[in-house]
Amino acid sequence: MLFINIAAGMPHKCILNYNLAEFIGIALLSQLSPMIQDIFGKSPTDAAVVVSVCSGWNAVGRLFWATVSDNLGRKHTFALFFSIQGLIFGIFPTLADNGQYLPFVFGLCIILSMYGGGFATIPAFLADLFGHKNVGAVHGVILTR
Amino acid sequence: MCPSYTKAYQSLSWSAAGAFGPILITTIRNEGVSEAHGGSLIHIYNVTFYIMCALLIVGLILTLLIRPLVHPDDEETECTEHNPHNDEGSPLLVRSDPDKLRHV
Repeated sequence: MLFINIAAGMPHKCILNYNLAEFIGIALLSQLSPMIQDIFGKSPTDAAVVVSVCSGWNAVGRLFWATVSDNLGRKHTFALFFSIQGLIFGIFPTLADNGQYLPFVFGLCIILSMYGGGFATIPAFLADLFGHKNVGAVHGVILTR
Repeated sequence: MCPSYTKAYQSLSWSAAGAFGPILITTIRNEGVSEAHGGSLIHIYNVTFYIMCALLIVGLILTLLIRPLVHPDDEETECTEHNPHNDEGSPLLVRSDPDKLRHV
């Protein structure tokens, strides 16, 4: 996936970007419940609560990050997504080691809010990059990834 | 512009993120569980976290490399006014012949 998109040239950077941003979110969501149970020894019910809370952050993130991108610029918003998410993933192993449950869940919430924010921001980003007339086609192509 | 541009690659990476991500993470988890032999599972996700961290760093670099497309006719009269929606300050592209768009 990575190499295909890189080989395809410059415009694919933004497709690849989106790919990466949503790849992280989808991969994390799919393993969220077993992850909480394995690392912190929580019951499946507790894990389900965490998944619901994170979904709420996902929804709020769509509104919040789309608003942020209006003021900050799309590119900077995406750079912010990647930096903060990378930082949080970097400290996750430490939090898991120390058994810090609430900071871990808060980190998950932030990551999933940015996952939603990526979804919400990408159409506007594409409009800025490719022009308003091309958004329909480009967004369609990107969503298939 | 984009449909023809990406047609060749579209079928290759169809839903790649949606399918590949969970498969990768699940595989890593299952290997971790079998290696733990019923012991502590606290560390089985560390590899996952570091892989994601690395991917996000790649994503950050690619984000910083993104430039808007510019039409040849616009290059002489490039708009210098700051537009927060368009980080590079280049003109917005509403063109009837988008095939001529190219990267700067």
